[in-house]
Amino acid sequence: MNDDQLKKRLNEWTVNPNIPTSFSHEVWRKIEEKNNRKWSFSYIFWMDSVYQSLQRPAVAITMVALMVIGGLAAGGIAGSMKAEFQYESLKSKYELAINPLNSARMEMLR
Amino acid sequence: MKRESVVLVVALAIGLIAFGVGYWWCSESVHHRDSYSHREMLWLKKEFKLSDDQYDRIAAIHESFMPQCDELCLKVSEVSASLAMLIADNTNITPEITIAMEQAGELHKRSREAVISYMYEVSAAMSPEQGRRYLEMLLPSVLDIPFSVSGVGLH
Repeated sequence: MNDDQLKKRLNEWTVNPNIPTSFSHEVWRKIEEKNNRKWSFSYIFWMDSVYQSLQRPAVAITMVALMVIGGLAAGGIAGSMKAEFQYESLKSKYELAINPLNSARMEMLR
Repeated sequence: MKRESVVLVVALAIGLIAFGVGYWWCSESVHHRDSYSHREMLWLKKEFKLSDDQYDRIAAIHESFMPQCDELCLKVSEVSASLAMLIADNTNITPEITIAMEQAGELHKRSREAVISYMYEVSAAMSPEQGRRYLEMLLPSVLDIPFSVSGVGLH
């Protein structure tokens, strides 16, 4: 095959790529995966640096103080929610206790 | 164990203890750490801001009402059960059913009278404002109908 023939063949040649329909989706998924990996790596790095800094007394004391404040706050919220619920149930209990008709209904339902 | 691990474990343990303290404090403080025999009376005391004197008077009214209430409750249960049985055993209204229905109606009337009279007594032992609020809040559920004490009428 000479050059002219080769040129002619190349000009005639058409590439028909067979790209799957999910190609674009796959590309974006891979980009996202890579970003996530980057985030989780920086998160691990951050956690590790916090962990290492616990050797310093100031950081350790801050950590304990945060735990105390956070624990008290979370416990306080949970306790208040429980108390609120019990308070409401005491009202129903009182209503039930003073009304013979309601008490009788409850008795029959048992 | 590394020093930072010890700090972490200690901090977490302290956090858990703090949670427990916060939970205990907030859940118990609302209901007082004392030994009232009826927990529902605590609700009454707190909700209607009763003084100790008012509370003692109302507790006495409550204590004297409870046997009467229990007796009525028992009678209502018995009459309602026998009425239910009579209705189930028959296919039309018999004289026995009519009598049982009359008895049930009479008992309902007596029960309502008793509880309303008790509530008037309790409200009278409170300050006028709280007494009105007490009736306003509790009469609807006792009477089982929408009710307003403020004179506006049914709502």
